[in-house]
Amino acid sequence: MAKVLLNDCNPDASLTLTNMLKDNAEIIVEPFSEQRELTDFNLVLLYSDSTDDQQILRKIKNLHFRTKFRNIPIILLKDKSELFSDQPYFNFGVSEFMALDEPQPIFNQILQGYLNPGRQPLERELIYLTPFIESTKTVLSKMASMEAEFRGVYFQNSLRILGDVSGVIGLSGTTEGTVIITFLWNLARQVIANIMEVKENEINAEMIHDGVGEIINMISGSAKKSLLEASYDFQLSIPTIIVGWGHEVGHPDNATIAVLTFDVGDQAFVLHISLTQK
Amino acid sequence: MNVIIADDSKVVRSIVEKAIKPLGYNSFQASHGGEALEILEKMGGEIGLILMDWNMPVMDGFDALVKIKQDSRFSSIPIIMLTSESDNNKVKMASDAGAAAYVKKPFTQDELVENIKQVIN
Repeated sequence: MAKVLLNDCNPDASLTLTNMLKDNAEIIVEPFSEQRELTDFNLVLLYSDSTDDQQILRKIKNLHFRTKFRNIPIILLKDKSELFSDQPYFNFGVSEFMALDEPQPIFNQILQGYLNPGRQPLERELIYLTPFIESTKTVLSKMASMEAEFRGVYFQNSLRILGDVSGVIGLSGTTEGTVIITFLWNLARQVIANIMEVKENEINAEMIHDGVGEIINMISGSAKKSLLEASYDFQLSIPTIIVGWGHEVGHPDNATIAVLTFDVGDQAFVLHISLTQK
Repeated sequence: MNVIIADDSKVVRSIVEKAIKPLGYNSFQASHGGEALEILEKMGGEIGLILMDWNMPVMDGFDALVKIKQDSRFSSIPIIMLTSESDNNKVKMASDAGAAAYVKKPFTQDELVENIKQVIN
């Protein structure tokens, strides 16, 4: 059964949502907490009647941080649709914002849609994803003496990446695509400090940018041999770095974007991969 | 011995420098093939080994390898390609062009040192 977290919901909102979801989901109603582990939830709903957008955005970002890049949609709820401003909720990690005054059948239908489990990777997709999973684990282990645990894959259409720093490699040739590794700042700093065998406080932004670029270069380069054997032929671009929460990275038209999540201890990072064959 | 480390990543140059320091080597750093050639022109016969990345901006490591091996002043200097390119065709290209060894990234410091010792000995 799916598990849904209702955060900061008032009694009326809790009752309405519980009645909608109780038949196919376990509902947990709690005040917002920065410590709450979220990775075993399928959906998080955050209610707010506040007009303080900065406070809401901080909560959304914190929720996203605790999903550890898993496929856990965060829905922002308000009482009335006119209470939503043009603030960049999406850029901070919200999948949807909804008002409780919307007609219940539509509201219910949208929520049920978010509870549907995403599709599993197809066999042909696993052929190109597996080398990246293996090379990611190898690079972290050999270069940073850190064990990266693969946690799963899902697919997304959005180009938005909710992380602090991404290393991007373009693939060109008879296979085209993009491979992106994204870290939150703290884990990026730890990884680069381990690679350079220095203390974390000796790591500056330039080292992180350089190191994250080199990591995605190594991951893509290491995966290339297995991919060539599977008839995915491409050249690697020089890596580029993008910094800033909610950045967007382009992928080839009509490409499926696979999202691979990894844990390192109690932190997480993510790989976005799109490959198309001409 | 003087060693040129050519890699566009400062992080990689730093870890390679750290790995070869216990061997008593002095390192000169280049961020692309063109800079490696400039160091060679200045240092001439004082360079005993070149560690060269493949994918670099301005001049990539393969082009630099070919230029060095075609220059009779420097052609005897061993060059170890140090690259994330795991494609066997690239290994063969580097070998055909005169690379002494091919170390695939990611590597441990021990693996790098072992390869260097084999080439130098």
